Amino acid sequence: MDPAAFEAHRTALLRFALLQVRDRDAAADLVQETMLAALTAADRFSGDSSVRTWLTGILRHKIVDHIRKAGREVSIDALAGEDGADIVDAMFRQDGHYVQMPSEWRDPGQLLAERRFLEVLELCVRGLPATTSQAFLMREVMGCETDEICKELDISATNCWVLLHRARMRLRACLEERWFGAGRK
Amino acid sequence: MSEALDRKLAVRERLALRFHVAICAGCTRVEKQLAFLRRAVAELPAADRVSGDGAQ
Repeated sequence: MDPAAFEAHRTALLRFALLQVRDRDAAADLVQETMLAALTAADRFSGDSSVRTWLTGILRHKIVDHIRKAGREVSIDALAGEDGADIVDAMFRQDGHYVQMPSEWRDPGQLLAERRFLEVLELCVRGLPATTSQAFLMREVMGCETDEICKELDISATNCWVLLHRARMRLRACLEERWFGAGRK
Repeated sequence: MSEALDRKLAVRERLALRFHVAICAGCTRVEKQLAFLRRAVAELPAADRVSGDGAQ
C-alpha cells in the first residue's frame, strides 16, 4: 500500500482526534502513531472498508486508550447518561408537538466565519457522550458511511442511526441554549 | 429526518418526510438547523490547531 494513500487522510484524522483529545500535541502524536501502525499493518488491510475508515478505526482505538490512560474514565457521559433518549423525548409533547418551538436560527451562514460561534459548537461536540460522539465524528468529520460506522462500533444499523440522530438533537439543543437562546425573539 | 443525512431514503420515505415537514413548522426549522449543523461541524475544530507540522 502506498504511504501517500494514508497521508491524504492526515488532516481529517487530526481534526477527528482534536475534537476528542484536547491537547494538540497528544492528538498529533496519536495521528502519527496511527500512520505508523497503518504502514506496518498495510498488508492486513482487507479492503472491505475504505482506507479512510480503516485509518479512522485504528485512530479511534488509540484515542479511547489515551483517554482511559489519562484517567478520565469518569467522563461527562457517566454523568449525563450515554442514553440520550431523554433529549429527544423532551423535545416533544405526547401529542407529537414540540414542547418548545425550535427557533429560526439567524443568519447561520455568516456564523461559520465567527470564531466564538465555532468555539461554542466545539464545546457542544465535546459534551457528547463517548460512543455518540465517536459515531457522529466518524460520520461528519471522516465522512464514513453508516454501515462502516456500525461495524467499527459493533452496533446495529438502527442503533447507529439512533446515535447519530441523538447526537444531532443534542447539538441543536446545545446551540439553542448556548448561542441562539441569548437573543431569542 | 436525521436518517436522511445518513442514507438515501426510499421514494416512499422521502415523500412521507416531505409531506410531514411541509405541514410542520417546527420540523422545517429543525431540518434547516441540521443542514447548517453539518456545514458548521465541517469547520471544526474552532481554533486553528489543525495546521502545523505537515498537515495543511
